[in-house]
Amino acid sequence: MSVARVTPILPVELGAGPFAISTKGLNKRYGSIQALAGLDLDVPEGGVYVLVGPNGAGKTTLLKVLMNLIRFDGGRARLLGLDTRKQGALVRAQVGSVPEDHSAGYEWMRIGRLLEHCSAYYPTWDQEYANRLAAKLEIDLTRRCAQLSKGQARRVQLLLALAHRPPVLLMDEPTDGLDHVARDGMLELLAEHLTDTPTTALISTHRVYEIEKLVDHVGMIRGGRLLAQMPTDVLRSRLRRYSAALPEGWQPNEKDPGGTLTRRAGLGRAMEWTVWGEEEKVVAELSGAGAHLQEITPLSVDDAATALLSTWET
Amino acid sequence: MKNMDLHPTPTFRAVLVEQIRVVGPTLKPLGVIFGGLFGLGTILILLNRPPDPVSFELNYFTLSVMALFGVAIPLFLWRGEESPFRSGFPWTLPVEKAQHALARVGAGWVWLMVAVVVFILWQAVNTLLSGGTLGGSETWLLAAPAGTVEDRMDPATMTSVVWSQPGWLFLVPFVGATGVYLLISALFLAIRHPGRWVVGTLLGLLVVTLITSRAGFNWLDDVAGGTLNSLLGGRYGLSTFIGGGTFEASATRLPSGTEVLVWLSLPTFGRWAMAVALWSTAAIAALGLAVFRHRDGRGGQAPT
Repeated sequence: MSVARVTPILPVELGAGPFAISTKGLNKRYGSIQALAGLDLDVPEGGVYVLVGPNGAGKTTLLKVLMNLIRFDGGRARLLGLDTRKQGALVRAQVGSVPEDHSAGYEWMRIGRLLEHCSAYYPTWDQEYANRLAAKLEIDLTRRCAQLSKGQARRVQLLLALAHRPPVLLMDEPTDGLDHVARDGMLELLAEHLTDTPTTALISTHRVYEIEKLVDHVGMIRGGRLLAQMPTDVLRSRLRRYSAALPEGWQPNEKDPGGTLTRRAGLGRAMEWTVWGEEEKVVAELSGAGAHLQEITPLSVDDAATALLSTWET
Repeated sequence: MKNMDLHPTPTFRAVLVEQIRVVGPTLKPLGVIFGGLFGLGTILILLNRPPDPVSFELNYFTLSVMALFGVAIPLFLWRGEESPFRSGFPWTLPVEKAQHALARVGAGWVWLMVAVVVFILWQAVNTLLSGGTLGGSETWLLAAPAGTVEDRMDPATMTSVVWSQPGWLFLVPFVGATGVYLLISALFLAIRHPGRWVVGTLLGLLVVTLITSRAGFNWLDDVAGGTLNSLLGGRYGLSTFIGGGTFEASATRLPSGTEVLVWLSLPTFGRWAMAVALWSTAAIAALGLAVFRHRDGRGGQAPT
């Protein structure tokens, strides 16, 4: 059984920065749909920030706004200090992007020619690196863009995003369409790139578990609003699962610790809580209520995000 | 991060050169279509061996075909993801969007000029293959001053003039095709769904015409016709701009029954130049406004 509790107050501030990406009160409306509703988001310089949220939360819209591919209605967005609305071209020169869709380049173009094409547009293009990436990603340079499968197009998009060694990566579901082997290879490559090249990455994904090792910050959005953003260390230390055996006559609703997101009954008299709060305080509350704590486990970023977002959904 | 650490954007020249390289293959299907048609034309000339040589002249037909290139190229240039109204691949590149659109227009124009040159050369080759000669002159029948061309005319009301194509007429296909190309490009850059607008406008005109005809008058002829005629066939109309005045001929029949082509007036440079000034201004203004829609915003270009 899962019981929704009152949503705890979660951090939305990441301190003073410096931030590679920063939005303030960002608004974007598509007709009657409010895609972004005053979004305040900060991505620390050099960080790998994963953006999670349900479908229609505004993740893709945000990434497009940051590249000035769509215009927003209000607020402001900055990338490396550049105004994304007024300095779109310069912003895009700083960005390597993996877009939501799986189209790569011009349909008639061969991949080898596409790389040459991009090298004309990015003065910082590193052809040697591009060739290495193509080899590692097993990209056939003689194929035409229109002939690529979903996974192959994704690999080409990754190559194009990395080969000019941009200071910022914006990735929308980067592992979408990849099989397990390709996905692992791509993540390994991305990890190497992040080590070799000083980069800030903003990754939007529903599959946080795939990139969890790379991530150091997490942001959650829903309905175009930021619900929380924090370092993953904070998320792991503050959001935990507590398993306990309950005494006779336990009244759960009254004795749940503060910050409880979910409570689930286990076998026999066992109970499991997912709680946002300081471990010592939660332990003291549960012990004080007579529960015999058996296990405390940190949640993965993926599970934590799911727990927090499902709480808000209710 | 300090601005000096920012990655630069490419120069406009680099973008233009790359766009010229990219637009060529984009227009390949169009080249195949026109190439096929022209190839077929040449084969027919060779097979049939016409008794009279194919004339090498820039007339209303050949000039219209070249102006048609100016319509066809934008259709291929801005389709699908390459439309600036979609955030497809080309628009994710680090170039100010209005400049990128202009570079693409410029690249398309280069290929348009190539197409015009190829067409003129093709005409010249056909003339030579059919036994004709380049240059030379011919005799035209000219209607009496400010006269009109009737269905049947007395030769006494006409004068004969010896006509050879003036040098400026060779500018007409290049300038005319360019103007048409810029206007159609402006349409594609200004309107998200130009096809829908064109069809919608035509349907709208049809509906208005049907309604007004029931009310007893032909709106298209009585109201819009005059404006439309001036715009398309007037002294400085589109036909003068793309045809250099070569549209001024009409067929008539002599009392003997022979059909001849009678000219209302000879093409003159002054009239064409005036049409060029008007239509070029309109085309450049339209393109400027259309491109302005897609600008990224002020400033932002880092020195390369």
